Amino acid sequence: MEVAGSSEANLVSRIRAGERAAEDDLIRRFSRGVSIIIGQSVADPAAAADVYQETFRLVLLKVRAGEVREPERLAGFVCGIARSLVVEHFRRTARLRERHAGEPDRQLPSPEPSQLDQLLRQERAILVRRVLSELASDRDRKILYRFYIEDDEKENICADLGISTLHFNHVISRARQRYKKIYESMGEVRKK
Amino acid sequence: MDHSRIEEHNLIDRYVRGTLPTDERAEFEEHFVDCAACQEQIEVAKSLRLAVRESAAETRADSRWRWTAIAACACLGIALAASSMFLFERQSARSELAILRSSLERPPVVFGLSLSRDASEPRVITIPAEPRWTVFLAEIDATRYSRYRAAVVGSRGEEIWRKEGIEANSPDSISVAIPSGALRPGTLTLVVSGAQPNGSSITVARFPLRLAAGK
Repeated sequence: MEVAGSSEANLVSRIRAGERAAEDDLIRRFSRGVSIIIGQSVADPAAAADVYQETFRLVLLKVRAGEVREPERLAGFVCGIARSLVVEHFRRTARLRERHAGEPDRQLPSPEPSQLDQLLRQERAILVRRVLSELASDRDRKILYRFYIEDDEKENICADLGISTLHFNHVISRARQRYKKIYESMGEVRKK
Repeated sequence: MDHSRIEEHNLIDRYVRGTLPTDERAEFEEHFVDCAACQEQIEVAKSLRLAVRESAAETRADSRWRWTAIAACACLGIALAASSMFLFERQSARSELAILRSSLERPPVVFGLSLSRDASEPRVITIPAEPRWTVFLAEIDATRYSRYRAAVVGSRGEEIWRKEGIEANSPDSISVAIPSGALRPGTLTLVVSGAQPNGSSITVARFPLRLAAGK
């Protein structure tokens, strides 16, 4: 079995050797993770897509040029570039905001959700209602509400409700699994 | 970083909530950027958190609406004629809401409409028998206007359904979601227009549809 670090180093050396397929492998391997990292900070999908494109453009440029000092830590290198581009995006946005401050006639995007957003929101509402109805007790529902809505810390919730961290983990993990399962089953219905 | 540590320290949820310290966050990102299992957990946790929040907001809004309605009824007791009007409207809003809610219990049906294929011959479509959303993904040049208007027009030119202020999904398509209850069998046309700044609109596409009742 290949160790992650050595496979990363191998990927770097293949790209350095000019293998185009290796570049595709790199993008495939880190694509979803990079999207999550960017999406965690950049809410606007168009801006997030720009940062995503720029991340891989820069990563490939630097790997080809041999600028990765620790090839076995390629994942960390990719994350670092994504993070610095997110910061750069916010700097640029702040500069733009300052420059356009006081301009009254600027066209602002509508804050209203699109029809597709509304449908997705409605779909999520159905899912969560089903998950909540399947929870064993009011106390378990309270755990979910306090954790996800009030952003209470696990320790406080456990202390207040007199439950163990094991029970807490069990409720959260079960809710997540059910949510995923119902979501996937709805996807199956859609495919049919 | 191993998965038992991730679970023990609740890293997935703390990451989604944005409460991880910078160094721990960087270390976790370095792990999950190459870990499909963690990526999936993060996406599910994010979606669940959002759904619980939206559901709570909806419940709060319902509750606010209830109190507003009670207060309104008390005031309207003074003017009986006005109150009967209000109650009638409220009842009709409720029944509309009931239809909408029941349409949400089922996944939407989606139809793609293309100008090259569906603009000359009517596209045959079966209206779902049970209430659900019918979504038309209309392929148009969506770069010309910032907002669009969609209308379903009957064979005599009468407007059956209309939606204003639709934004494009992409440069070449917009999605039009119509509750199936708003559709009826017969020959209809989905008219898509671009909204002009002066309030008028210009037709950009017409898609003839032949709708049949679902069994």
